[in-house]
Amino acid sequence: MYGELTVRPFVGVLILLALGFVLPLLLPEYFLYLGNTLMMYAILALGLDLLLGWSGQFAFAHIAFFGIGIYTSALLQLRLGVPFIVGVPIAAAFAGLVGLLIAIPATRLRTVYLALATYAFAECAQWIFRAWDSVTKGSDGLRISAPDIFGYVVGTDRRAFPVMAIILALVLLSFLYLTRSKLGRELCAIRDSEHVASASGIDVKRTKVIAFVLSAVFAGLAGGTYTLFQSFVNPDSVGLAQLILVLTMVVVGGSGSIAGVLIGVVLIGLLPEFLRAAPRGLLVWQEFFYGLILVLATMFMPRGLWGLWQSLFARAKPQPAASPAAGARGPAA
Amino acid sequence: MDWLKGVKASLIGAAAALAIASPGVAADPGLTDTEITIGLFGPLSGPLVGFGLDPVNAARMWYQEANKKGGIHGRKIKLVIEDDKCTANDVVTVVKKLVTVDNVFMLHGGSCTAALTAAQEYINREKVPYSMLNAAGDNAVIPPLKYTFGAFHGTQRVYAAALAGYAIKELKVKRAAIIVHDDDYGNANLATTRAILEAAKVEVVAAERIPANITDVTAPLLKIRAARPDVILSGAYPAPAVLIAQKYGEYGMTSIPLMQAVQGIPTPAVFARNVGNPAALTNFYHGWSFTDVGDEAIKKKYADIYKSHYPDREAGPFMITGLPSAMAVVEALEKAGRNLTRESFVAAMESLDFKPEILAGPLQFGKDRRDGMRSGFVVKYDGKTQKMMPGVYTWNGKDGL
Repeated sequence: MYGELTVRPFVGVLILLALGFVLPLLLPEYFLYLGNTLMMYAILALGLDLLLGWSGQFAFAHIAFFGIGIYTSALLQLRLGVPFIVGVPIAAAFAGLVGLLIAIPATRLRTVYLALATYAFAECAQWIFRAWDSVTKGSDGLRISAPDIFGYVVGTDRRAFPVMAIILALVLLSFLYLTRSKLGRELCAIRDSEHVASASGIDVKRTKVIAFVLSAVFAGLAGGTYTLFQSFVNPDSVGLAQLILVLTMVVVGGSGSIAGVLIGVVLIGLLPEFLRAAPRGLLVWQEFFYGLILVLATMFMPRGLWGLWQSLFARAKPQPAASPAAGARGPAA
Repeated sequence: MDWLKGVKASLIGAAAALAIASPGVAADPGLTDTEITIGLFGPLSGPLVGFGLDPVNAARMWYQEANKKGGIHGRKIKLVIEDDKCTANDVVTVVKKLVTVDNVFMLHGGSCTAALTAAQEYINREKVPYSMLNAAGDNAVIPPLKYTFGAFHGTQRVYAAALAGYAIKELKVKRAAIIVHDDDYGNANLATTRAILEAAKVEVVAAERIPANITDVTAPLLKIRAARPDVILSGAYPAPAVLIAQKYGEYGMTSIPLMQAVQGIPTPAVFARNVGNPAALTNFYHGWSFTDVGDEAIKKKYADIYKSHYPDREAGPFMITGLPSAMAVVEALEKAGRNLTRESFVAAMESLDFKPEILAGPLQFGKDRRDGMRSGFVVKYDGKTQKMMPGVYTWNGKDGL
C-alpha cells in the first residue's frame, strides 16, 4: 500500500451502506430511483476516471463497455436464465475481455488519435446493438425482467436501493485499494510522464492495458447494475449523450480523485432535476443553463470542484489525488 | 382503571368518526371530492421540443375548457406538468416523480415512443392509467398493455397503410420503393407497407433502411433511382426527409411521386423552405390523420381556442396532435362517472368509441386493443398549399387495409 489511508473513506462507505438500508424506508420511489441512477453513474464514472484521471489516457470507449455490460447481463438473464448474481460478474468480465482486445491496439495510440479510435469503437458498438436485431432486438429494445438474488426479487427501486449501495460500497473499497496499490502508483507515473515512468522500470504498455481492462470491467459492472432497476434498454441508452454526461461528471467533479468524481456524479446527475423545478417559461433555457455551468466550471475550475475545494480549504499537504487532472492538462504526453 | 376505559372508548369513537367522515380515505391517489390530478408531460425543452410544446399546451387547453364547463362530475382537473425531453431516462424519472411524489390519479404524456416505452413496465406494475399524448410508435401499444392507451392519431402501421393504399388505389403503381429508418418506427412502417403492396401484387423494387442521424442520402437515393420505381414511400424523420426530397429533386426524379409519412413533415412550410427547391415538391404527398387540412372551419375553430388560451403564441401544425388524447381522457372521465377509480377509468377507456371532428376516423379501444385510431388521409403539398386527396384509408389491425 502506498500513500496515507485515513479512516474517513471507510466511514463514508459505512454511511453509504447505512443509507442504503434506511432511505428505502423513508423516501418515495422517485428519490430512490434517482439514488440508484447516481450510484450506477458513480461506478461508471469511477471506471472512466481510472483511465482518464489516473492513467491520463484520453479514451472514449467507456460507454461501449457499459453497453456490453447491460446487454450481456440482460441477455444472460432473458435467454439463458442466468441469475443476476452470476450474470453481472460475467458481464463485467466479458466487458473486460473486449476491453483487452481493444486495449492492445488502442494503447499504441496517444492523444487525439486514441480519443478518435476509441470513440469509433463506441460508435461501432452502438451500431451493433442497433443492427443485431435477432439478439438485441435492435431499436425496439429489450424488456428486462426483475432480477432475483437468492430469492430476493428486485422488482422496485425500493428493493434495488440496498443492493446498489452494497455494490457501490464494494467498488469504492476496491478503488481505494487499487489507487493506493503499486498499480495505482504506476498509473500516476504514466499519467505524469510516460518517458520518466518507462525510465523508472515501469512496463508502460502493459500497465496501460491493465488500466484499460479494469476500466472496462467497472463499466461492464455499471452496465450490469443498470438491469437491477431499469426494465427496458435500447441502443439510445448507450450513445454519445451518455458518454458526454459521464465525462462531464468526471471533469466537473475533479478527475484523479474519488471524492471529486462522486461530487461530479451527484451534482451533474441532479442538475437536470433542479432545472426541472424551474418555472415553465424558463424550461426551454435548461440546456443553456446546463451548458453555461459546464463552461464556467471548465474555465474557472480546471481541477474540478474537488480541486477548487482543496485549493481553498484543504490542508497544504500534497496528495496524489489533487494532482492536475489529465482532462484539465490535456492528453497525456 | 376507569380513565383507561374512557381513553379506549374515546379512541374507538374517534376512529369510527374518522372512518365515517372521510369518504376519500379509500380513494385512489390524485382524487378528491373536488379535484382529479393528472400528470401531463412531454418534451418542453431539448431538440425535440417541436413535437411536444404545442401538443402539451393543446392538452392543457382542453382540460381547462372542461374545467370552464364546471369540471367532470363536480371535479376540476388539476395538472402537474413536467418536461420529459423525449429521452428514456427523463421519461422514467418524470413518471416516477408524478406517481410517487405528486401522487397523480393518471398520467398523460409522451411524444416519443422509444423513450416512453422505458416507463411502461413501471406504469403497468403500479396500475396507473396512462394515456399517451401524441407519440405514434407501434411498440407502446402493440402488443397491448392493460394500463396504456395510445396511438390517438395512428401508428406507423396506420401511416404506412394510408400511403400504400393511396399509391395502389389512386396512383395505380406496380413498382414501389420504400425508404425507412433502422429503428422501431422504420420496422413497423416497412413491414406494413411491404405487406400491403405485396397483397396488391405491387413489386417492392427497393427497400432502403437508413440511420436516423444520416447526413447524406446519396447512396440510398441512387439505389432507388436505379430500381426505377413508380412511387417512393418514405418513413423518414424531418431532417432526413428534407435530404431525401432535396436529392430527389436534384436527380430529376420528380416524375415519380414521393410520398412522405407525417413524422417527416411536422411543419409543412418549414419543410418546403428547408428543401429549398419548389420543383422537388411538384409530385409530393404526405400522410395526415386530421381533418384540419381539408376543413378550414375546424382549423380556425381550434386555432382560435388555442389563441384564447395562449395569446402570445401562434399554434404550430403539430398543436392539433395533442388534442385527441385529451378529448379521449375527458370523454372517459365523463363515462366513468362520479364514483371514479383508476380501474373504472381504465374500463371507460376500454369501451371508448367516438369520433372527434378533428380526426380521420373513430377512436376505439377494446379489451385487447390499445391503439386508438386506425385511419389516415393523404395530402398533396406543393410547398404552398395542402390539398386533401380523396379517400380515408383504414388499417385493418392485422396486415393490411
